Amino acid sequence: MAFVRDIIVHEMARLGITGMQEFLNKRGLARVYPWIKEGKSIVSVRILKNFCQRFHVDPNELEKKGIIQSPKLYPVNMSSSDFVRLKSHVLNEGRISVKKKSVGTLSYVNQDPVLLRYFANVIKGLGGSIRKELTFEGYGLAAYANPVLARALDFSGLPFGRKTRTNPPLDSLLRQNPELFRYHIQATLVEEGWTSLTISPYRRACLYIAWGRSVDIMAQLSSEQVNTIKNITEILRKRKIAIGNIKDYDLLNNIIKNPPLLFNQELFILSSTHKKKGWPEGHPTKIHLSKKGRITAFWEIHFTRPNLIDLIHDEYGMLPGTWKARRFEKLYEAYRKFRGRRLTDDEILEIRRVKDENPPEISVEWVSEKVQELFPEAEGARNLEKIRRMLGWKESE
Amino acid sequence: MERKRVKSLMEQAYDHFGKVVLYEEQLFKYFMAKGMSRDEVKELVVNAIGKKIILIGVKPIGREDTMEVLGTVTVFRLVGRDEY
Repeated sequence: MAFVRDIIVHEMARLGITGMQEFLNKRGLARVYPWIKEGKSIVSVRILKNFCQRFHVDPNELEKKGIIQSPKLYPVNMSSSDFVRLKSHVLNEGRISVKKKSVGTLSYVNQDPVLLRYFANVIKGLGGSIRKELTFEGYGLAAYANPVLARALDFSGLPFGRKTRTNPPLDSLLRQNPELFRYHIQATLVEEGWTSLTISPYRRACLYIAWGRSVDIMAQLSSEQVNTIKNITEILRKRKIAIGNIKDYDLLNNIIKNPPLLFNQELFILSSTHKKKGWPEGHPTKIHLSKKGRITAFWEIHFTRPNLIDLIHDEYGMLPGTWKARRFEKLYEAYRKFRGRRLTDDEILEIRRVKDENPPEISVEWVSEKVQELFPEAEGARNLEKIRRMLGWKESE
Repeated sequence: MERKRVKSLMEQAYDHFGKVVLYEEQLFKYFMAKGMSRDEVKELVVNAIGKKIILIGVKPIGREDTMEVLGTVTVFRLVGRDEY
């Protein structure tokens, strides 16, 4: 502790200041005073970072001198199963960012409280915790976790910022551990995927499973190609255009040569793990021009073949207990019952009933019940009016 | 070119190979062997994608021992011949 005190005293002497408490208060370091006075204190990383920046101290030096005695949640085991699972959730629906006054924030946003519980459980498994209260943020409920995990994720290859731009890869452990890869696909199907049960013009039951990912392609396009896309969006008066609107083969080729890294790896591991199954290819389906002028390509993969539908259902499925998983099970059950043959009128009506009873839109009741059951301490998130607004916001988008 | 004409040309190509998914090279070689220039094939392909007759996509390729992706190959899928 003498090391820290000496640094401050030295700086005070240089500036000709006498009152240490006032000196520290004025610099936003009030928490450092009890630290020096009592020789021991719980100091947040934000304060520590602020202290190091103000007095030009290397944080590693503090650690080497044994000044940081029992760092909370540090070191983070980046090869633990929970860390890899956390990475899967964050790759899909998480946000890691750096704000001016913080040292990184880690949050997860979803409408389904069951998924927020999955996120909270992996955080707990890592020794961390989420904030007691869930907050309403745009289209979903947000859970905030320890900032130290945001920094650990950054170090592990999932950088701060928009994932479409950073284009992060899968965690390398997923390539070697089938159980973790299974969890990743289960999470991806429920967080980024969608399913649909339809009836073909030949009166056959068709189930499809899909998921999608976006990637920023600005760096891969020439200025001429960027202008071509801008012109198409202007003509069509849409920011999001279907890939079929692009009439330049070389531009199309440029888009196709740059799929999202993560998406490509997922498809490769799936097709290599289950060989000779006739895996479908990934398709770019939409191009989006943002208000800031950035261009992203949205990629999708669709499964329609019965053998692949069964494989996805039996070997992977969706994270159990979630709204989407429950719906998927119901649709799959109906699909299994009727697939492979021409349907009668009554059977078509039964499929329609199953679909009506299991809509893709999450219900207000589900959100409310699950919040009470899984997050009893999050009283603010039980507000029915806010839940309705949250779900309605998405519908009217 | 009319949708019907583009669809017919594409179906002939896929029927020739007896597949619903063709590699870029296969499709180009087929049409160039029929007397089309590379630019004409590009135009035909773009036309077929725009008319939702075929889908453009990629298949990742890599090392199976390490599950490392090394690149992708461009493929085209004929729409409407999926197995249900």
